[in-house]
Amino acid sequence: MKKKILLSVYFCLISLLTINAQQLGLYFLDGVVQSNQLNPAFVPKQKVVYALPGLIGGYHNSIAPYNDLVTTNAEGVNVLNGTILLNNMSDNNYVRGGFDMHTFHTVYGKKTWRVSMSHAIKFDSYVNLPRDLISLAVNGNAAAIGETFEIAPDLQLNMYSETAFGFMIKLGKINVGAKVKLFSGIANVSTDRTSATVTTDEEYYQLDIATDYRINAAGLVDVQNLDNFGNFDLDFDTDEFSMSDLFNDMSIGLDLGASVHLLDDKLTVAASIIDIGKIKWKNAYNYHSEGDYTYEGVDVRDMVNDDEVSFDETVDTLKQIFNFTETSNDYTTWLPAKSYISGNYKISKLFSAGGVVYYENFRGKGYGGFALNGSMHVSQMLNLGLTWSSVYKTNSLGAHLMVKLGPVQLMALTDNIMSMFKPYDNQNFNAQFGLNIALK
Amino acid sequence: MRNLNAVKALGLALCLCTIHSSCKNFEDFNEIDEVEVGGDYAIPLINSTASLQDILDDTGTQNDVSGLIIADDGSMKIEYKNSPIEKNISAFFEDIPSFPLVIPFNSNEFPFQFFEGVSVQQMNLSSGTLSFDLESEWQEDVDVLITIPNLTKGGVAFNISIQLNYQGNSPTMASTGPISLADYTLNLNDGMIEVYYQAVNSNGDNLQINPIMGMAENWKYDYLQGTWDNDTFNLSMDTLEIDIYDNWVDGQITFADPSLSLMVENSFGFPTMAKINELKVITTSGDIMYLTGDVFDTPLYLNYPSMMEPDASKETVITFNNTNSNIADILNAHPKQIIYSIDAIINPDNDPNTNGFMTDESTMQITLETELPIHGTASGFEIEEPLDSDLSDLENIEWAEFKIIADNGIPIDLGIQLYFTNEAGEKIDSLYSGFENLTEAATVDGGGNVISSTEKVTFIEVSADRMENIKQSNSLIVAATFSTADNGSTPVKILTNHELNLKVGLKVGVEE
Repeated sequence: MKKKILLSVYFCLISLLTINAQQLGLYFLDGVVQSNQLNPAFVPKQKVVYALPGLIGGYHNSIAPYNDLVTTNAEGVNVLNGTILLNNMSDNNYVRGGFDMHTFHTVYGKKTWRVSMSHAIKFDSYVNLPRDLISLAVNGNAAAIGETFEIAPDLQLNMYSETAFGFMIKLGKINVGAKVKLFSGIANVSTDRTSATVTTDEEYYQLDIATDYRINAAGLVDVQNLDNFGNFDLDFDTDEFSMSDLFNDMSIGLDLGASVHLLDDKLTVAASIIDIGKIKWKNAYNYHSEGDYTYEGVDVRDMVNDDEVSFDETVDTLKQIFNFTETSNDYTTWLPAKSYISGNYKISKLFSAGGVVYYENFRGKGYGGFALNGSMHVSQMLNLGLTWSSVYKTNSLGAHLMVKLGPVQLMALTDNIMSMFKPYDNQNFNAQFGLNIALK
Repeated sequence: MRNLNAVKALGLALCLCTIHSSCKNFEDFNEIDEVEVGGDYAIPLINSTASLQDILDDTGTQNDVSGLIIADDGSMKIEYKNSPIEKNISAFFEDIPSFPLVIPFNSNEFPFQFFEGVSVQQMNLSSGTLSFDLESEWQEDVDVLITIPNLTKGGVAFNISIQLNYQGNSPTMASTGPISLADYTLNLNDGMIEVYYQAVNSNGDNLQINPIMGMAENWKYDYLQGTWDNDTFNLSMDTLEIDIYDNWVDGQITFADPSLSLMVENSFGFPTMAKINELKVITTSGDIMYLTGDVFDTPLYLNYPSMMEPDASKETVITFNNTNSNIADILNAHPKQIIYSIDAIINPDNDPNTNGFMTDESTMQITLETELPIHGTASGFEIEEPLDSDLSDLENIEWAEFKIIADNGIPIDLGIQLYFTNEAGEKIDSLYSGFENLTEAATVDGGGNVISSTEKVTFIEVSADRMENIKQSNSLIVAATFSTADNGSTPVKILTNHELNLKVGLKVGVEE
């Protein structure tokens, strides 16, 4: 008993590290409270469960592993190789990451129903870099006279508070769940118009620039020097954060899910759609660059008056070319809605196998993936499994482990085993460690 | 049960290991210090349309004392002018010295000859004094009245009364002290001043006293009239600097109709003729050329105000051009300095009956002016100008290529070269070999007038080897060569509204 308490205390002291994003392996951990995040119909078998608070972070890029792009030279300098970066890029390339800070997640219920309440502060970041932007920087435009480069990055940096109230009801073999979420925006920087092109004219290489590019910002964020890319700065004013920011100007979201047990409960088919909702941002600032501009060079008479020749003026002019105008209009951002369809079959008392198909709609683009899982179950105390997943065109082998020690439930999950040991040799890594108190 | 406990322990261990290793791996994250890029970039450098008027407005060279003069029709000329040299009366005549007036008898005449070469007829005094010392041997009081009929003020002749009061000792003496002669006019007949005195006693008897000693001091005049003898004075000797060829290196520029003008502003009221003792040019190569021509066969009389115009000033302009002298040859020989010496000959015809005047403000101002109209030909005329440069931006540049589009409305072919120099000012490399003609002259008609502009596209490549030399320099020398249409064979007129449209694009290769 003493050992169990000591172990429980030990686990309370460690960071609860959960990496967000898809975590497809989590979909095969039906019965663990963390899986309720992906399907509100997934609830623990225990009637009272409390998940201890913790911090979650994650990263994915669609380009290449960090170590493929960055090397350390003989002088110990870390160098990003622009050519290798460019060779690994497609037309659109994104980097996503974020962290969640779960303050609490609790479930209570009876035999045929559960209710849940949870709260988290979530931060997610997304940047989509057009290949043309990197190509322009790495290769230049001299070999592309007359061609048009699309250089506008799409970005969204989002920080918000999520308070959720969920319920699940068993209707025979069917579980149906839903979760109502209340969102409160804390800080946001995002683009809603993302067009900026540069064309090098054939005559004497004038730069024709056309823009319709807008950056919105709201909350605890400060955007500076948009007109001077050399000094552009983005600051999150976390020092200004207060508890009232968690519950300001709330908007509503929804999670829906269901599961059905078939074939004498051997087959479980489930589906869910989560993060349906948007966040309203008030007291916002908008920075809009719109129009056509042609940079044609300097006036030679300026050189006649000055006895000095310098190219600094050309570089400075190009840095300030976008000419943003500022307004104060409120705006709305949508959360990345995700949908899952899964099937899991109990081959025997010890083994099960399953698969899940995943789709996410985010900022007008669709991202899909699927995973295949095989798990070993040793009574209700141990669940060990391997998951092979393909998401965002990246394949990886993950694993999960769930151990139940009395009322303490410990789980560990990753969709990419190798990233746990060599994160910089992989394009994505995520891991989740959960410590729950589960009481019957 | 034992197996179950073992499984639990193993699961726990796996979790601990995984947590520890993942945290450890993230501690090793290093930030990116540099980004390795090396591409070829194309940017526009220059887009400019400038007329010569724009350049002149920007550089403030229009209508300076020496500079570029623009006429209403847009034609231009380069003018060099020295600051006027002024001669006043002190250059010709000395001040009137103090002189004695001894009056031995009741009536006397004295010659007044203090202006060499001038027979004074009238002199208006602005200041000066007369003083007299008297002595009498008479042992009684004597009243003396001194009169100078030539010296009048308001029509009244100068007179002064002095009393010699006998005090019992002989001789009796008296002095007048300085008497102001301001606003007195001295009229001289045949150059003689008449002075007489009348001495009487208390009975009215005319007496003769000892000679009266008078002294005239500090006489100054504001008007003098008389006749002048023929005489010669040095009027001016000066040097006019010409800087148009300061940066000249090679080639020839020919001005179609240059001229040299001598301008004299004269307020002396007597006939004078200018005599050019010498007018020579020192060229940039040190050669000396002298002005010659028909102009020297004609007397160079200077205009002067008449007797009725005592406050006036008259101008005389003597112009040397290609019709009356060899000035065109001289000014097209790359002059660096024009040195001249001019004398003034008063009463050049030696006419004894010629009256004249001068005042205390009379002056003669002499100005030498050279005009080089921008109308002519140039053939390979080359100049160089040093230019500081900040080439630190070129550190990562491997190669470069300039694309130059020149739409030229000026009737000049323009070639450019850039020399790159080291700290000692030595040329270590150039942008390319020889001169690159960046513009072709605008098309002109037979009279040298522009009828259409000419466009030329030039590519200038700077190889990697040359770029390395350029990076090591810290200053530039810009050399320009220009020729007028048809390689300098057709004279052209350059007007201020002629324009050059210049577009320059640059491609560069950047080192990785």
